[in-house]
Amino acid sequence: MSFIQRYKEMDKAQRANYRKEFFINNSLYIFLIAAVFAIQIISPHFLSGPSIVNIISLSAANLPIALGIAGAIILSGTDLSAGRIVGFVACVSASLLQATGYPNKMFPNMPTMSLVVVFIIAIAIGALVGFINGFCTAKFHLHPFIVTLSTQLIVYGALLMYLTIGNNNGQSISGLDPSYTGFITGSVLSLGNTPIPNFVWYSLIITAIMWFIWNKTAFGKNMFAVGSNPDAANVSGVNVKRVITLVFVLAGVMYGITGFIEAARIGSNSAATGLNYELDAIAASVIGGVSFVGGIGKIRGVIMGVVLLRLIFVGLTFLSIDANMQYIIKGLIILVACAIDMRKYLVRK
Amino acid sequence: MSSKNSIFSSAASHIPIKLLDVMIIVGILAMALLIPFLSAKGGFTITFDSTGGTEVSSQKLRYGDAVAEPEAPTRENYVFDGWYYDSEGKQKFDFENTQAEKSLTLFALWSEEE
Repeated sequence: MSFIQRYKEMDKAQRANYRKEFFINNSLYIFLIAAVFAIQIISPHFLSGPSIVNIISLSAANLPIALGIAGAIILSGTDLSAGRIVGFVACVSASLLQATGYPNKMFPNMPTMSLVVVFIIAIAIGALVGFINGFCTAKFHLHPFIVTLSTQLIVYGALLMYLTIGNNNGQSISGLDPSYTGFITGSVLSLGNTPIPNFVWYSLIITAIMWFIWNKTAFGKNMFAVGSNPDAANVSGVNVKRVITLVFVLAGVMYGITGFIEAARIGSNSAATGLNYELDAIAASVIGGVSFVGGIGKIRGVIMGVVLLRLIFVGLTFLSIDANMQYIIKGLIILVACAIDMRKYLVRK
Repeated sequence: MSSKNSIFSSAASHIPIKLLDVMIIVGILAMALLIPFLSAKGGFTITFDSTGGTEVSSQKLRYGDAVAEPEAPTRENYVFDGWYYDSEGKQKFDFENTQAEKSLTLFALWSEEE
């Protein structure tokens, strides 16, 4: 029966209990939205046109990596290598797409490469590291925390080495080709006077593809099945090892896409690019209802988590709270989100 | 992958839900108190690195404030070239049109005196 019918049939005590459960389960959203309203009152430019475009852009830039990591969380795991993969792919993409004639060009004799080719290289790198993550997790039954922690360090080391080759001596890579920056950060539509960068649309397309994969393919269904109960999934014929590996490969592909976009979005790439990106992605996923116990998650939840997180952190900046202090708030948000997640799991049992 | 018999899930079933409720409420209250506190105590610091010239004091600003252009530093045998976002002089800092949006270090660029 529908929710309204069920609610009408509850007695007073049950209704009070329902309200309490609803309030606690959604307390974080209520708090964050209240905070957004409060910040808008204190600082009215917070939700102005240019600011909203900025928030949408930042959310779009963080969406693919969150969608990738959400897959790993649905499998009841995690992926700590996400940020460094994004950084590595960003630096590689940037180094291959610097403007000809740029004085500090890393590979001075390289002709202008095609965007498509570099994009494929970006995805391939992401997929390769994802494959290593997934294979080690699936085949050797190692916990993804340990595996991805190792790949995180290895990818970082590889990045540091990569930055010393060619004409580059560990400096940051900038001076990107205008066709690349135009493709990513150029704009065809504007909100009022503020241009909306192109990568917002690319991000939406990727999100739609992920929605299709999660909800309309056998692979998606298998991912949720393995996440909630790997033994049951195995018994019903799902190749658990293959699903685990593919989920991490898909996550790697998403990190590669994020890196390709990020390189042009921030314009100047160094070894620090991508540092701690996975923290925001994991936080966004957990806020959005992707459960650490596995098997539960929705695309719209991840989107909401990413946008809400961005709203809050842009808002905190409007309150003159330094980026370093924002870490404390970020940690508290993750803690509360995980407590709510665990509570929902215990209530279900 | 973690089976439902992992140490975490078996320990989890002993956690009373009330304890989690307390954790959630404490966490949210902590944020509700911390955010105004950090905001009041907060601010962005613009540091001026004169890369060899005379010292220029840093400025502590709130969000949206204009950055006051400090008195130009001096350096023997060099001419001051302006303040830049990076030490290589790729992007000049525009005092007129930029507002404080995060903590920054600005670098002084010098050119040799003729």
